[in-house]
Amino acid sequence: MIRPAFVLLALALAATALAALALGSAAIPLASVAQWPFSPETLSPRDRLILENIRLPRLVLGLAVGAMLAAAGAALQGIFRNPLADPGLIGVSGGAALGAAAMIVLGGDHLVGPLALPLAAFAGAVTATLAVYGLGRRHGMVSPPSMLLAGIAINALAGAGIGVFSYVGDDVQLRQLTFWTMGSLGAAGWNTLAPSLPLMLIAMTGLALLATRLDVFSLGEREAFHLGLDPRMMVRLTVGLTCLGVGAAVAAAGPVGFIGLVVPHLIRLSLGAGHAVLLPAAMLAGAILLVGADTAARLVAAPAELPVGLLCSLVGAPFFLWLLRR
Amino acid sequence: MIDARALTLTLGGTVVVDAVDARLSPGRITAILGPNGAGKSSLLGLLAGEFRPQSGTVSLDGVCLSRWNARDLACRRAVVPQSAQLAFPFTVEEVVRMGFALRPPPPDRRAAIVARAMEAADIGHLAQRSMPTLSGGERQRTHFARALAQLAANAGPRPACLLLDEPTASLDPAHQHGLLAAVRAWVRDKGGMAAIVLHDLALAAHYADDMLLLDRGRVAALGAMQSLDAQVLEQVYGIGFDRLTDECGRVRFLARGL
Repeated sequence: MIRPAFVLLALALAATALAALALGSAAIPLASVAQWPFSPETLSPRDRLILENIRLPRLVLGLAVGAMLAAAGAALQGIFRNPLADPGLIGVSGGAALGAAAMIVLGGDHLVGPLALPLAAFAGAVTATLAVYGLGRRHGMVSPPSMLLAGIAINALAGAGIGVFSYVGDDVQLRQLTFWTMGSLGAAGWNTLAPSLPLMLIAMTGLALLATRLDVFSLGEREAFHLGLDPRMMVRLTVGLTCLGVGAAVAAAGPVGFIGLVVPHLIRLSLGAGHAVLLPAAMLAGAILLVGADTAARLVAAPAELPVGLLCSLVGAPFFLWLLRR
Repeated sequence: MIDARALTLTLGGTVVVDAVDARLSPGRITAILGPNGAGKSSLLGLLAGEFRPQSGTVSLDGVCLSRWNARDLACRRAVVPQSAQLAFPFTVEEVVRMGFALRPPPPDRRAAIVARAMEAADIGHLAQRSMPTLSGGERQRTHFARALAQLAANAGPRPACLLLDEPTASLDPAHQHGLLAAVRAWVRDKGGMAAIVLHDLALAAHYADDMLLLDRGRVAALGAMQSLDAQVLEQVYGIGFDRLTDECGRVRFLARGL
């Protein structure tokens, strides 16, 4: 059951990646794409340029962001012990976007170095998550309704903050900000990837290493302590890694909603709740979903492209409603 | 041995445990008795190292619990909660394995530990069932098996401690006796110590060696189960009790009602 599922996910990932490289407003034949790693010189200079400098970084970013958001969703759901937790829903992405917005407008050109944006997004993500975690607790237990309400409030606050920054920002900053609030892989290039990719890889590796502890934590904070886990340390570690990764993802691609909510849920339904399987499977599925959605977003209105965050919300929001009604 | 001295715990401005002394000895089962709100679960939480007392100390092997780290403590004591809310659809066997997930024994021992714990809790036939589909009593027995697996995986030369918070609350009579008999077997075989929060005085009299009767956070009676008398029970619970001795010499308490 589990091994075939991973084979299937890997095959789907390969297929999606090939499609993402081949398809677009300027189609490149699949045969050329398949040949490119071995003999790049056989491609036409134009195809090579598109492949190496536009589609490949975009594919890598899509894979990383999709996997990161799914892993973050799974980990946050484990820590909040609630399948409704999602980086977008509980304000992590909102906080990260606000941090990024503040850095774009207030930081000025000299400050917005390659690491400044991910760090600002990280700071925003940490603040939002800690606020939600603190406000969502009643008598030492995370209470899901308070947590969701706190998330709504934090999201509203972050939205208002981004509004203020758009109001005071100049035209160039405004354009940059709009990109953040919609979520898109369009700005992908090797220079945006350089700071974000390592941070996301570190966060994902760290979260994958916490799998057993997340299992134990699912029993409850007190039970986790009885089994030998320091619950506070565990929360700090998970929230820290999640914020690091989501901060980096949001800094590079803007807030992309619902992947963190939908993907872990689907994996749990089909492969069970154990995090040692859930986390890697969710990462694969998240990567497939985001790259697939991005390819679709590039094709639907070609040569123009839909922001992929918009597309994810269009599909994710009805799924979320179904989840609530179930 | 677990030794508690002059424990006082205040939660939200209310004194829930007030200057309580308690001792759990290897090879013995202690029943923690008392009316609702008497502080039984809070006392159990203190003995588990979950809460820090405002004053007083709890020590295991003569070392204060606040100086034990969570991981070492988990090798020596396990807790069966009153009710644990599991967030995700884990299977029964996965939950039992969580007992030793953080300190796994050698792979070849795991299956035997899990099988023995599940047999003691009579949940072997539920192994692949998902927790949310179980009844309250079946879940309670799963958590009992998890605690047994935890202690079996970490068994060492020093006696371990099993703390149970109303483990029989949602069990049918046969499983109430089954679970408590399993606790007694564990205590006898491993030389461990157990403390059980119980409401049922008949069960307490049948399985416990010692008792600790709490009344509004204070100790109303402490000692061998046999030494409990009906008068103290009347004072604490506010209704009459008859103390009987059956043909085997065991004491029985019968509530007279109002």
